Amino acid sequence: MTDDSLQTAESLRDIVAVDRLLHEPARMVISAILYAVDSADFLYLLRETGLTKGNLSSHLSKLEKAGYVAIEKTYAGKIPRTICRMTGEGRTAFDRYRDQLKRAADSLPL
Amino acid sequence: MAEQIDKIIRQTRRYWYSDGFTEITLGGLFALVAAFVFVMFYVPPGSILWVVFAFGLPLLTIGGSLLGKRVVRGLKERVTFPRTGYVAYEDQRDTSWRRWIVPGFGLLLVLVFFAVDFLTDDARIDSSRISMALSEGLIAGVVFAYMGHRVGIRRFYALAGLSALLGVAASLAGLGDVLGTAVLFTGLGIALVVSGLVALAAYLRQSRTTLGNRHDG
Repeated sequence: MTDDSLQTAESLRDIVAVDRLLHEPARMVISAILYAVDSADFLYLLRETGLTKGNLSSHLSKLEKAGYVAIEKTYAGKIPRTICRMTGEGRTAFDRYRDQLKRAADSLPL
Repeated sequence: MAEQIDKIIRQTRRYWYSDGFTEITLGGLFALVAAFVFVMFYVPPGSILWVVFAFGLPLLTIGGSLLGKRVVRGLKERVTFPRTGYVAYEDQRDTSWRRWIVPGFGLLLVLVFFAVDFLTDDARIDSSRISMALSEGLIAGVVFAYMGHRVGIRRFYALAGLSALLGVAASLAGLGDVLGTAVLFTGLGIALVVSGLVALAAYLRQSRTTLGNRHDG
């Protein structure tokens, strides 16, 4: 096998091994937002993603179940506030996911 | 897809500046420092009052920056977060070194002020070759340009250009170091407040209150 074909094979393995939980478009957007911040509330995520409340809630639950996101219910005065934060495990997984995407994109022939 | 992620990350970082409160507060701080420097201009150098002002300026800068952060946070809690959502950034963590960027920037400008003043007063450097207002205008310009690059906000590039221009203008006008600095800071303060108010007006137009719609997931 040549170097090029080895590299292509490795890139293909990267694509196959990509984290499917993060690869879903809505969860990818949620993860990218939470990756950029320390924490964000449900309202912010709702506005930025354009998802419905039910949809957003469902995707957050999946991310929380995987240990990628921590959700905390607090209050801002008398108003309830749901704070979402990406965990260390989530950040590591998202870093890996971004690397895999970049490698795959770089290996594509021009 | 990777580019899309980078775009989302930048857009999320930009949110902090979308309401203009940071610029308005920073502009107010610049104006306050300018007023302080204006007063210094009329105080005889070397007098006790001058020494009090000289020590007071760094304290005002650091204290004002820290207080300004609280003011911005309070305004956001009242206006921004109920409308478009709450976001906390990593540099708001108490342990992060980034929380010292704004006070550090202010302190750097003050240190330049004193360093240039010390050097030119003692004729170690020809004061026509190095101007305090020019140095400060260029430093502020670099900082605004960096902020513009980091979060992708174009108006910060305009502020960077304006800052450098004001520095050059104050230097060429031959106002001297103290008055030149005061003029530069006044100009910067006004520019920041105007820029912040324009951003705030645009933000208020675009956002709608969602106070009655804050159901959690």
